[in-house]
Amino acid sequence: MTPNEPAVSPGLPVVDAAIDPDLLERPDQVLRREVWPGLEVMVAVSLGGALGALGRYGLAQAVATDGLGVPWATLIANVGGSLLLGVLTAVAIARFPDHQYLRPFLGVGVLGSFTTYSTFAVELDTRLGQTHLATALGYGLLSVMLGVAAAAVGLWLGRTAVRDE
Amino acid sequence: MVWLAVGIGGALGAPLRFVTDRWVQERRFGDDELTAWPLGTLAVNVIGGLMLGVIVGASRYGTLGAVPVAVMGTGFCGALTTFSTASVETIRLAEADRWPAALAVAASNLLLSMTAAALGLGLTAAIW
Repeated sequence: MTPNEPAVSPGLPVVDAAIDPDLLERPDQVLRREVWPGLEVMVAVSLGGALGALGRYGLAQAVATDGLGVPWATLIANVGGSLLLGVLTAVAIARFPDHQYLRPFLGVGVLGSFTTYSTFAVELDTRLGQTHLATALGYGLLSVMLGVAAAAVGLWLGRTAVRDE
Repeated sequence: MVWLAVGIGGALGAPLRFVTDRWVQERRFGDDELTAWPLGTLAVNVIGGLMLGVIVGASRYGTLGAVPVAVMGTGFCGALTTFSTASVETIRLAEADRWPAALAVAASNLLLSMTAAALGLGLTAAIW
């Protein structure tokens, strides 16, 4: 594919083609977007962000890091959040394209905030600093690969559910 | 108290991620976002990684207390950065047959965030 060709897979509607799921809004907004999304949308993102961060913190309190030094709480949040964002992206695009707050609240806010890259990065650096190389390598690769696989499964689940309705 | 701190940090970090993501994509690509690289998510993850490195370093080597770490680290940086969006972006690039871009997005988020966080940790270790 040439760089200038739109990344639209055959059969997918154009709104399904933008890569960053957080940036999709109503179909008519896809090509012409303002940086500021409006106060109400920002409040929805903010409320979702508070809930997502609290969920991640609660999970970290409940799930301990094991003897191998794998931070299971972060791994579960990141992989689980990737799965759910896949489902939400597929379902919201197909069923609720006009809903103004659904994806800002649940996708950008709750799931974006429930999952985290900064904690993941610091956890990896800490393990590398303590020369727990195998743990760092295993945790890092497992997180990224399971996260992408979970997002794929989530998109598939969402699209299947929408098709079967 | 710590719960409240995490919630407040999350309430600030998530909307900042949203506008930063939109701002980066708007500056970088204008109307051409269908072919664009998702650099907005990469940007917040790298910036948030650096910030959390400094915050964790300040609590590890310095005297930063539990509540500031909860607001700025767990809440704000945790919400400013995101793993789920990076995962969905990677798989959507793969679906669009942009495999090199998919690999590059996964690798750059991982390696650049780690580098930024290490820089933050190293900086604070050097200062204290």
